[in-house]
Amino acid sequence: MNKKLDLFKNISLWPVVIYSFVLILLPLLYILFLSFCETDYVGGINYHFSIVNYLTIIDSTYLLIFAKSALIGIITTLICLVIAYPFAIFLMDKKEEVRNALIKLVMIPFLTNSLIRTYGWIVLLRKNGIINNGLTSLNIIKEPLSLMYNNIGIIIGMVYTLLPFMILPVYAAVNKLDPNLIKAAKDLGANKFHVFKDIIFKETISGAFNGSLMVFIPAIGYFFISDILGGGKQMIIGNLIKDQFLTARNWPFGSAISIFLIIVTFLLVRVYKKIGGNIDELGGM
Amino acid sequence: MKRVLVELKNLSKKFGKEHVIKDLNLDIYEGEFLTLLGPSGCGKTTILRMISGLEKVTSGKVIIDGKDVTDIVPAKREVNTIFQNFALFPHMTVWDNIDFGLKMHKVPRTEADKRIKDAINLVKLKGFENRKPDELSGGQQQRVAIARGIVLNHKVLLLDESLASLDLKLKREMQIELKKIQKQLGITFIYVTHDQDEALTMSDRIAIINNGTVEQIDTPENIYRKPHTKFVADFIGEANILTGKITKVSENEAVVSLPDNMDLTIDNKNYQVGEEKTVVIRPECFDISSIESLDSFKGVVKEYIYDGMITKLIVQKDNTELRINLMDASSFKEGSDVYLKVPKKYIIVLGDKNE
Ligand SMILES: Nc1ncnc2c1ncn2[C@@H]1O[C@H](COP(=O)(O)OP(=O)(O)O)[C@@H](O)[C@H]1O
Ligand SMILES: [Mg+2]
Repeated sequence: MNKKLDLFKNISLWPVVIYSFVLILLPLLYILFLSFCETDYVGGINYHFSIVNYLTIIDSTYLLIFAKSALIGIITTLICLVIAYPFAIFLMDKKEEVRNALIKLVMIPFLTNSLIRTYGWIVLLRKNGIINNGLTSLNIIKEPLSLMYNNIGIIIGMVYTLLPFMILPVYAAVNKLDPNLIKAAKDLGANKFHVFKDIIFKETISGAFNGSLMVFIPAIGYFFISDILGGGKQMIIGNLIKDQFLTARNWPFGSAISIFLIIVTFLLVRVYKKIGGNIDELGGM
Repeated sequence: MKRVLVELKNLSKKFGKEHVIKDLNLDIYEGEFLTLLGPSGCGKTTILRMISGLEKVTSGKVIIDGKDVTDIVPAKREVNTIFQNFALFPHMTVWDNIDFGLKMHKVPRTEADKRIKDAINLVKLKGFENRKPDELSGGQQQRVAIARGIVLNHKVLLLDESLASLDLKLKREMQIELKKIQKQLGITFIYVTHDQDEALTMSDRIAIINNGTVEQIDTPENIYRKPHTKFVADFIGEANILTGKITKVSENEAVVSLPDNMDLTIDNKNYQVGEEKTVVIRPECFDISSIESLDSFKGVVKEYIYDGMITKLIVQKDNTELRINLMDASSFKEGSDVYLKVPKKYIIVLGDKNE
């Protein structure tokens, strides 16, 4: 009886194992392998061991792009946090149906292609777009604002696209919170600010960190947003990698940057662990 | 005269259409241990939350120490709550949990440290200051919750089923200790429970709550010996509750005739012949004998249940079952005839006004 069940479990797991191996692990290993090769500068690859790609990363021009990209990522992450928490707290004492309905609304954008949704923003953000026209006709501003083809455009696009990835983990963490903790804090004299800072935020820090990773990593990688709303002038790490693979045809260097990003991600998780975070709460990160 | 510290005036609470607390009035004295006792769902927690401010009142007033606090937020009320599940902050150590309220009230550091140390000593948690709540046993968590609640020196502590999650032995210990802490600090405890033993052991007074109103408020002894209503008699301890009619009155005595030919002599308190009366007889109040005597009535032992300290008998008197508890019941076997009497001082007649 049990043996049969075990057999069934084994068989049913195989597709997942094969999927992970073929579509995740193999490409990753290939990228790792490539990152230690060299380009032959005409789009081909010299298959001999070299760390020149990693040395190039430390080059100051690339570091500058990394720093700017990281800044955009951090700002995007912070804005998402600032929106996600009030939303999650607002939902806390609502009825289950209300909560579920609103969370579904958050997920609706997933149903359409993010590239198309990003193009949609052009209509809103451009010089004579809906926002600028609205604000000028209401006499709030005289000159149209530059809302796109710059960093502002990228950040708006990133926040819009990535917000659900922040809201879901933050909401999940806040929703799990024992409401009595908040009552106890109020009972002991805490005002709203302290209830948030000392109890809600500290207790849900894993959700916040989880969401931050899920926002920050794409926010330095989603090149199409930077292409469309940054006008291609504003490089983020994602553009850099894409260019290496598609334009410069330097696959080994592109691979090295990708591996570098993966290492950064792992380092962030390590930092989180160092400051006392619980890895289990991150959900298999 | 004792000073009233907490006053609930015509307090009502509705959740939507459900009328949970109905025009409740309650005066709670300074320094007393008052227990709100009642079945689950009768509204005890709701009353407590309206005192702490964690639940808004629908109508009525909450007055603490002479001040109307009905519209004041919990943080500004001079009461603290110990929650049913303790609600300790998981990411903080024992010390930080106790410190939290002091920080919120901006108590100067040296003063705060001293108060935390005193509180930790009082609840016997020395050496555990740096543990997190999940590194403590249930009893220790309970102690942290108490320390956190008393460290602000507020005059009232609200406790919601605080001992419910502890095992029986620990519960007994904590009952005695809670009472000791309360006496030592001289503050008012308002304690909520559905456990009558707990209420009888710890309280100075018990308020029996039924269906959102106070059914009776009295000392534990009076609640047990002189219940005013069927509900109170039934809820506290075991009781034989029987309804009959007054059939005879003389100057000092009256006879109440219960079903199945049980005639009991009681003190006459202006009863009229024909008046319907409900009497309550506690199981330990019977005189039981295997020999017939004057005024005794006969029954048959139907069940014999040995329960350690006492033995419980169920005696069948025609169609009525009577519960009788005895210290020594070895001479009454199942199926044997017994003769019962009830001394009139042990017969509780409901509806009598307070003597
Ligand atoms: N927040 C709430 N919303 C709706 N109904 C509630 C709420 N809190 C309590 N009630 C209802 O009020 C009644 C009394 O609850 P409660 O005060 O918790 O009782 P107790 O503590 O005596 O068990 C119950 O019927 C309960 O369902
Ligand atoms: Mg309750």
